[in-house]
Amino acid sequence: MRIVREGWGRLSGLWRRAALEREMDEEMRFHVDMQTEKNLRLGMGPAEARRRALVSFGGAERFKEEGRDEQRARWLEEGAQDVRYAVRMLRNAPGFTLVAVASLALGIGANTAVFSVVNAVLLRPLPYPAAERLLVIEDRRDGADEPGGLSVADVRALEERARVFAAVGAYSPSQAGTTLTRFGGGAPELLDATAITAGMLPALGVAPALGRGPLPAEDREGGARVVVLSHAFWRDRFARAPDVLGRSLTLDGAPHTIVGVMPEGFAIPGRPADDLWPVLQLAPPRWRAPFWLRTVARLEPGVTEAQARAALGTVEAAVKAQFPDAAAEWRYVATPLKESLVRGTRTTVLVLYGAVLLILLMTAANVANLFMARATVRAPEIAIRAALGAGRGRIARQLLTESALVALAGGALGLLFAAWGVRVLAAATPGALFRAHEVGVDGPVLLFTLAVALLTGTAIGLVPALQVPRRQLAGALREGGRSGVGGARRRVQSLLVVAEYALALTVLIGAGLVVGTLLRLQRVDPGVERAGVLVVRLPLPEARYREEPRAEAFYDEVMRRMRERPGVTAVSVSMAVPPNRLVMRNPFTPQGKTFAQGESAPVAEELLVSADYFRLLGVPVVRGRAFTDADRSDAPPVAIVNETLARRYFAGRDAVGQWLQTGDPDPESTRLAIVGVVPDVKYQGLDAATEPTIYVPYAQNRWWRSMYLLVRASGDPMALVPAVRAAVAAADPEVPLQEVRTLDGLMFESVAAPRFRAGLLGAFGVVALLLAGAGIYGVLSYTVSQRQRETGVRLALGARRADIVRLIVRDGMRLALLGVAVGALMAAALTRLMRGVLYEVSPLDPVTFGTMALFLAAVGLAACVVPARRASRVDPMVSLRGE
Amino acid sequence: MGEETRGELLQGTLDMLVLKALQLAPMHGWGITERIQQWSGQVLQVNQGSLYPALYRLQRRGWITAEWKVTENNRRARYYALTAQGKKQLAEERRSWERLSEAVNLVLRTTEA
Repeated sequence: MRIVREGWGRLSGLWRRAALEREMDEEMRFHVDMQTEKNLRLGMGPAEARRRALVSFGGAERFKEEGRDEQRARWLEEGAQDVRYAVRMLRNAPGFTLVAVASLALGIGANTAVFSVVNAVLLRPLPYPAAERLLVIEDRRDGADEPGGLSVADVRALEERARVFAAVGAYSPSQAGTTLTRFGGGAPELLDATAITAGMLPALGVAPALGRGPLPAEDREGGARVVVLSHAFWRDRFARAPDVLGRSLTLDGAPHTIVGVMPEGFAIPGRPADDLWPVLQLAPPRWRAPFWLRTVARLEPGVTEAQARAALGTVEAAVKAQFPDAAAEWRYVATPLKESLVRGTRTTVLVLYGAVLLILLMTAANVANLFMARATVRAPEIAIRAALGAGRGRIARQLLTESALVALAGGALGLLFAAWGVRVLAAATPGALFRAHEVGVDGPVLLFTLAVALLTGTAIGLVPALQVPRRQLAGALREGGRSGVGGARRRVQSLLVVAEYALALTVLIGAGLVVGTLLRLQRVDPGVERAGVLVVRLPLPEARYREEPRAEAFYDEVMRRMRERPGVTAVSVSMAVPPNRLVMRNPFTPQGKTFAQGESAPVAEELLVSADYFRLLGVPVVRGRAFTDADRSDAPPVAIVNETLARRYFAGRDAVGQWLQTGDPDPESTRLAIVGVVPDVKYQGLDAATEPTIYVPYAQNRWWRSMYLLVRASGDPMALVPAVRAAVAAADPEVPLQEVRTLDGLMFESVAAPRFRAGLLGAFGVVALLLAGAGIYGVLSYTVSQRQRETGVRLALGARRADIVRLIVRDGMRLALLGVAVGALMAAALTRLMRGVLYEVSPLDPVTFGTMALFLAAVGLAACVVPARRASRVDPMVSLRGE
Repeated sequence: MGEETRGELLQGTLDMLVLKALQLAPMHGWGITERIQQWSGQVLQVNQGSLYPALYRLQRRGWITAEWKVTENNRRARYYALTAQGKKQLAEERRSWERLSEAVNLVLRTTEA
């Protein structure tokens, strides 16, 4: 412990230099005073006495200087010596150094990589001024898990009534995406764009670098159509022309006037790749529904979040009064923007970081073990140095220098590894990881790596340094370091191995849980036949497709052309596709339902589908019939429901023959006759609970202009893409193809995030397994070599080789099993934090715990066997003779 | 004051004498010089310029410790005390000094004879 104190004393000495100076001064003054007194007693006069005292002192300053120099010079000189010595020692043991540096590079590098993600996703502030004053306003229904988007009515109400907000902006996430433009007479092309209201740019607090943003007058129906360009778009397409303002772009068939250019690097939250931002024009709302807007609001200066929430209550009341027929069991919720953006990913990122931290600890334990084994081998050399006058502190400092060098080297290598790893991570992460494009190795990350490397190096070095024995140095010299293994040393090594096993099991169990989640998700039945289906979204430009028959004619034409293709067995259009492309939910009123005071209508998923939809997807009609061509706009309105809806709202009756109404409860609204019941299909993700679903024929509801085209064919669906392109071009050359996927591809994408987690944690699990195995192997090898003489004695006394093996294996397995037990407890405590990313797997799933424990124990056994067998092959004669 | 016979002390020898001076009881720097001066019959006058660096050196090696205490005259002074290691060190240095001086004496005596 004294080493720590001495080392600390020296460190704090640097800081306390002023205090030290004062102490030295005081000491000198005392000495001079005493000498003066003595001189006085010898009979000198006071002035003389003092003068002679000072003279005999020989200039206090000079030897204060010497004293100071002593300390400082010693420091630097010893430091340089330590480093040179450490380098030489490490070069003399290339195998050891290589293994240590490589292990640390892996551990530190992985930490750095994941920390870059943590930094970008969770820590770094958003790139907007005073970003902590930005809130997302959402609508939370009573009983709903997640809050949802707002409607036009909500946005207008917030804009007009909420004085607490300096600005409120809105955009539509589901309609955001590519828009079509014809630029410079070339072919139509797709751009990334998000339409925004006038309040968006003021809310975010970023003003255009050129020109202005949309005006409030422009985001209303009938207002001028304007667009704001991104810096990159202005640079690439207009060559930074200063006169770009006032020029016109045709977007979605409608001319838009360019009114502004944003500064470089600007993007609205969650949409990093937009090329431009057209104005979002909202018509005055007739009903409260539908809910399709995402809102960002900036707090007025001086307003607190609490005040804002109170103000929201007032706006709520006003909106509810405005639409008395709409459901009233909802309220506004305000979330800080940053929190809202990272909501889904925080758990993932933290789980990953937890795993990688455990791996770093394991790596450190392994390398510490390596250092300790090596310290024993070097005991004679250390003893000699001690005999030559080096204090314990000096020796310990030298050992720490070695471990610090190894850790820094490992850190530097790890940094390179992390830079590569981060790029792989960012590329592999699904859109689920917000701000993945911002992840990189930057300032805070570098500092973090340095800190981790130094901490690890110190921790690793302290373990053997603290073991430098006080007295038995002579003994160590005499017996060449083999005079019995220090009990304390072995205990520490064993502790490290047990710790490694505990950590490894925790990582493995975490990996097992997310892999289990992925497997279960992949086995979820989406309710459709997924193979061989092509899905393409065909959004129609609103300007040219105002009349519904025109839109219907377009889709009919495309479907007709596709049906003529060889190999195509079914073609259909739909508003939404499984497994997770639901667009709309709507309240509905089933026949016979009366609403009590204050009760709100149930909500169902709603889809517009063409007649062939169910046949194409292989969804059987269990009661009644599917839609036919007879269900046209002049025919009675019909609907098909899923089994969940039939069971919940028409229990005991046959749903076929009943009616329901969609939209906010209104006795006058159209009654849809239910003509069929189909099984449940997943539209909100494979892990979502089943909800009631209402299907209505597209032919009777032609108001949605962004339908999906589905094509089932024999053979590879993607081979049909050119045919689809041709069919669409023939019907209307200006309609783009969006989201071209196979249904299989959509299913695959829907589990992208769980797959990412499983892959990464699985990799960590493998690394942890290897580290644990290596750890026990290293410790056992060392023990075996230390106990060679003892083994020789045993063999000479008649023990069988098998006994030796059993002995060693028993020792090793004891550590492993203890580690597994501790690890199980640790895992049980920690895995509950993972609940958010697990699907149908309990954090304490016994199967996972059991298999991983067995697996780890098996690896441990394998790692014990090799040194054990080596021990048993010792020739007793050789080992008894010694050395 | 015995200036003619004042001896120049080698660094190692000074260390040994300081340790010896402290063997009796802890003392401050001034007291150490007085002690050495007294015990050497006023022959050895320790140069303060060498004393304090020596004290810091010995302190760093862990052979003496320092503590601020109050003297009989109620003055604050830094007292140095011998540690267990210092005691061992003193004994060793004393042995080697004795061996050294014996050897030197031997050489001198032989030449005379």
